Amino acid sequence: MEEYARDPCPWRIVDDCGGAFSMGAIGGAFFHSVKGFRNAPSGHYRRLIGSFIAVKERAPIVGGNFAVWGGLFSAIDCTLVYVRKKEDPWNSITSGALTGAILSVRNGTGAMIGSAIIGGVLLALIEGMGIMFTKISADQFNPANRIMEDPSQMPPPSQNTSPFFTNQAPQYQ
Amino acid sequence: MNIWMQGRNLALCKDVFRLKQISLHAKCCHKLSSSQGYENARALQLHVAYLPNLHSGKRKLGTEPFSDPNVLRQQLYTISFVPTRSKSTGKQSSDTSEKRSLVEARESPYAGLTPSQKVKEAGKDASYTLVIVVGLAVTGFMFYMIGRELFSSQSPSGVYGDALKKCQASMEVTAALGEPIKGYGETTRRGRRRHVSHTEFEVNGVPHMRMRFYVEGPYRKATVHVEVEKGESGKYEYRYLFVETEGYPHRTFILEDNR
Repeated sequence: MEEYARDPCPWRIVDDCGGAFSMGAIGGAFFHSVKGFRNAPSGHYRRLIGSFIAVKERAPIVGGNFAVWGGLFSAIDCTLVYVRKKEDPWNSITSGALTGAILSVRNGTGAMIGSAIIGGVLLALIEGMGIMFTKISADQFNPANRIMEDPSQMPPPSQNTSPFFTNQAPQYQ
Repeated sequence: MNIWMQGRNLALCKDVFRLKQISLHAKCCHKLSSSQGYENARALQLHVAYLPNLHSGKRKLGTEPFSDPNVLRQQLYTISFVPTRSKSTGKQSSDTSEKRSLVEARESPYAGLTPSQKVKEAGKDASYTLVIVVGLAVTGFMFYMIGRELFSSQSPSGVYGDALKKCQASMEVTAALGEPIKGYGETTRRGRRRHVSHTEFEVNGVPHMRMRFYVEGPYRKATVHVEVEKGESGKYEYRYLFVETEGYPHRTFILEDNR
């Protein structure tokens, strides 16, 4: 519960960096094992060796690239949270676009704009998938909610006769 | 300059242009030879270095030796290499007839096919088109959903933004929590807090939405409960909005109560 109460933001950068590295390393290991297998000379043993070598050489690179992306993304995300004082999907979309732009800053303005668009659209799609999944899962629980939804609100117990909006009366509970 | 040529392999290409002595650019050779397996490519762009007087039509082509560097001014031209499905026509004697056949080969992708092959190709094209259309439709639907969620004020995130603004503007809440108030939703395992928990339901056919999110200032944290309902104008209006502080002295600030 201590973890839960803490502000996630500055530490989340490290967290995301590591998560992205492991994701990239695993994915890259899979990808490069297939690629090394196919590019190796014929013979099962040689193909196996080629696959291993490709994984050994390439998978950490993929992981590193992912880690750069994830770490930068998370850092920008946290900065935006700090600046905007609000956490919503816009933060991640903006930081995806900014990450894409920053990482291709050496390739010129056109490349920056292109990869910014790609990053933003990608993150927007991810956010949209999240939104859609929560909507679907909420719809599944909806009948139960409909039964529960009687206005049994705790602090203002049906203030039909509340003369003042600005009562600061300490409530029970 | 575009030259449309018919044929499928390097030998034919060389033959058409009488390029036997001309060493094609290495990359071009590679592209050409690899294009032998191209069945579906409509056009393959390649660059060929060749003599400038190749198309003059007056000389017998390709007979000069290439010793003179002035003659061998290499110019890059783009040749679009169109693999056709028809059988490669026999060697034709004159250049003009060859060129005419080259132009004709471009006219229809279905040229020179038997009816059964035509049906097959049409089926293939139709199925690819179907796949593309379905993909575009799915993408468009997703973008529509995202846009509705992000840009409309009648969506959960729109209601959240408006309620958060109301909290930040309220004197009592800022006095209790401290000045820069930030808002966030439920914390996930990965430290993301942008999902605001909400349920949508209907009471007597009127859509309602109930929502809970958290605000935090330098002094304290608080939970915000909101319920909105759709008014006559079709927009969400507050049914109630109150802020409940955490920590021992529980305090509740009612910002909106229209029940």
